Amino acid sequence: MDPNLINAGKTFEQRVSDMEAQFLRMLLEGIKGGTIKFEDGQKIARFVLSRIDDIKNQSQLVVFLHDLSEKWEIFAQLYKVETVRITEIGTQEKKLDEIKSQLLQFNQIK
Amino acid sequence: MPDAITEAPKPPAPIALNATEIPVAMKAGMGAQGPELFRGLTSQQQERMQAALVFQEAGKTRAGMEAIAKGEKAEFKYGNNCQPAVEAIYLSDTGPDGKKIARDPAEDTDKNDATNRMAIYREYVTQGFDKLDPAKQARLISDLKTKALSNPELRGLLADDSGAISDEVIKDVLRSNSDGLTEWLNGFFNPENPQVKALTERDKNIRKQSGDIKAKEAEKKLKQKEIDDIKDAPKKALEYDKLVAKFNEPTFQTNTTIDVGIKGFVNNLTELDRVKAELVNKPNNADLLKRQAEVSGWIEKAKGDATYGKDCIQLAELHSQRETTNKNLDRQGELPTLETDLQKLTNDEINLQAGLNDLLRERGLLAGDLQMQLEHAVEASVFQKAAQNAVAMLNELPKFKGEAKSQLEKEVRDKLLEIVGTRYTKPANWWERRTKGDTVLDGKKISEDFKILTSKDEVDSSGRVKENGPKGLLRDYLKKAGKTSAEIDSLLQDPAFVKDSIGVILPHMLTDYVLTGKHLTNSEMNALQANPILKGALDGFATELINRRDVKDKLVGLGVLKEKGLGEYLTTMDGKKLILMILMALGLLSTPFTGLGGVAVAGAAFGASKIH
Repeated sequence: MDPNLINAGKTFEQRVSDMEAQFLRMLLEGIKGGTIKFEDGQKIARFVLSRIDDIKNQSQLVVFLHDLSEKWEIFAQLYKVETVRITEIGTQEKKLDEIKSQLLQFNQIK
Repeated sequence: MPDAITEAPKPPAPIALNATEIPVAMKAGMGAQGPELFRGLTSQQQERMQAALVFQEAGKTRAGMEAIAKGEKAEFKYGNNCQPAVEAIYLSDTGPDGKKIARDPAEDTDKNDATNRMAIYREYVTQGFDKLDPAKQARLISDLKTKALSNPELRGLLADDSGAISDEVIKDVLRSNSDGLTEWLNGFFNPENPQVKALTERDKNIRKQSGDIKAKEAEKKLKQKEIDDIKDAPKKALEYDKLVAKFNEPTFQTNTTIDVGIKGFVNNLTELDRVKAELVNKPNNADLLKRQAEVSGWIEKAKGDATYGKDCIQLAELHSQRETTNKNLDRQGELPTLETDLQKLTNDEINLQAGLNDLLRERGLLAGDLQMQLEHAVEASVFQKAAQNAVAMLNELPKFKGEAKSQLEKEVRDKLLEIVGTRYTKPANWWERRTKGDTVLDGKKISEDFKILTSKDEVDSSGRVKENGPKGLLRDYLKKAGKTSAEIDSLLQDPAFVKDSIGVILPHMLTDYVLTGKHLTNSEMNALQANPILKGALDGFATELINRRDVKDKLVGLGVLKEKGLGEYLTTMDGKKLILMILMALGLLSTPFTGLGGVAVAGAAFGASKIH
């Protein structure tokens, strides 16, 4: 699984759409390669279709991937990547806050 | 590192594919990635995969996912054999006497009708209802509608609240029942179908029985001839003697006007016998051959005489039979035995004929039954699907949860499960047996129990209290379980037992109730909700049912539930709505769409239901 799947430059909707395309590719390749049974592929597709339109924010995406990976292990890596990503975003936001805070302090000093 | 998504091969611009273009695109897409890529998949699964690939390449991800998610269409396994099988049902070309007969024109009409019907069924199950031409659609609609008018249970399934059956409802049923009919037809045309096997067996037996009758007839004819010949022997001997005496009469022999060939006719017959006997040993002897021709000539000439020719012919005939006649004269004493033998053969033939008649009657009944089944195939498949849903539903029913507190309670728990399994069924009538087996749901009994369950205790004019509600119903169950009044009173004092027992009985009853074609009315649901024990049972049932993974998957698969929203449903929705939703999703609610599954149908039913 490519850890750069989710391109940070895209809108959230585009990222979800890209992820759906990734699911389809994984399904097609898995069924073709025999690692996913067609019947399981059907279940996965149905699961994805039943939930994906309800994903409106990052935390919902993580919850969705968590549920998906719990049912089908092949999606565990996707879930892991997204968890790392949300942590990174959190860290970046924290750093940004720190910088903002420092700038503010600097301005105040100035 | 490059973005994996942007690396995916995509055409310069998305291709918009419509329904008619998809098969073409699929075919084209098979060039480079042929079906060998999908080894081990069924042809339908391969089609889905190819469609998904085409959609993927066209940038239509959602359509690709949907192509995979789509359910497997049932395959009509006996499509190519169904026509001869239908004809075989109507083939009755053997009459009661075992002889081949011309078919009744009415039977031919029926057969043609069945053939046409089968052709429509075949087209319907392979292509789907919407692909049929309007005339065929109209026939299926009118067929099902007509049958619903004469079948209260089917009417219960199809009618709206006012009792009317609209063409749109029938169309929805037919649209969603194609797989159901396929499944039904696969069962019907399966060579292992017991009735088809029985029919084939009868046909085989009929052919054998007809052959046996013919053989017995031939045997009887021979016996009759043997008896007749023995009986005729004295008469023939007398006639022969009289004719010989006439020819040997001195006046006859001295009569100069009579030809010598006639006067010597008896001797000539004897001489010819002698010559023929010698010729057996000397077949090429010229003298004997010449003598045979000479004597034969005299005999034939005498037979042609205007005055005595008739006597000569008769004499020659009797002469040729005299050996047999003499033997038969000696066999006169055998006649009683032979007559007995003949009677036995006659009796055998009568028995064989009776056996054939039985076989033909049985065949007629079997064929009639099969013909009727074929005629009712669509409605039967609707019921079959509903029954399958019911079985699936019943398999999900909760069992007792709590521990039994006493030996008595333990015994009763098993008994209650046993009783609830059969309490709401009754023997099927003749028509129902054709489509639903030996037992059917007893709507009246369920209604009675439902009324007891949802009513409050009543006091009659003499002041006696009639116990209703959960305890009232349980009391009746416990009586059926053979418990004494004291035992029942003791059991009913335990609230946990009452709650647990109702938790088992109610889901069964609820399932059976809606399967009889009855609507769960708002007031009925309110009555259930109003009673804390019943409400608890409903909620518990709904929660347990919906939390089972396969049921949940089914609901999600049908598109009725969103997996994510499940928790919200559980916390915000009361038991009544939850139950309704499950019933509708599983196709068990008695709306016009009952038993027919399908996302649109279930969704429409939920939206249109009068119970919210």
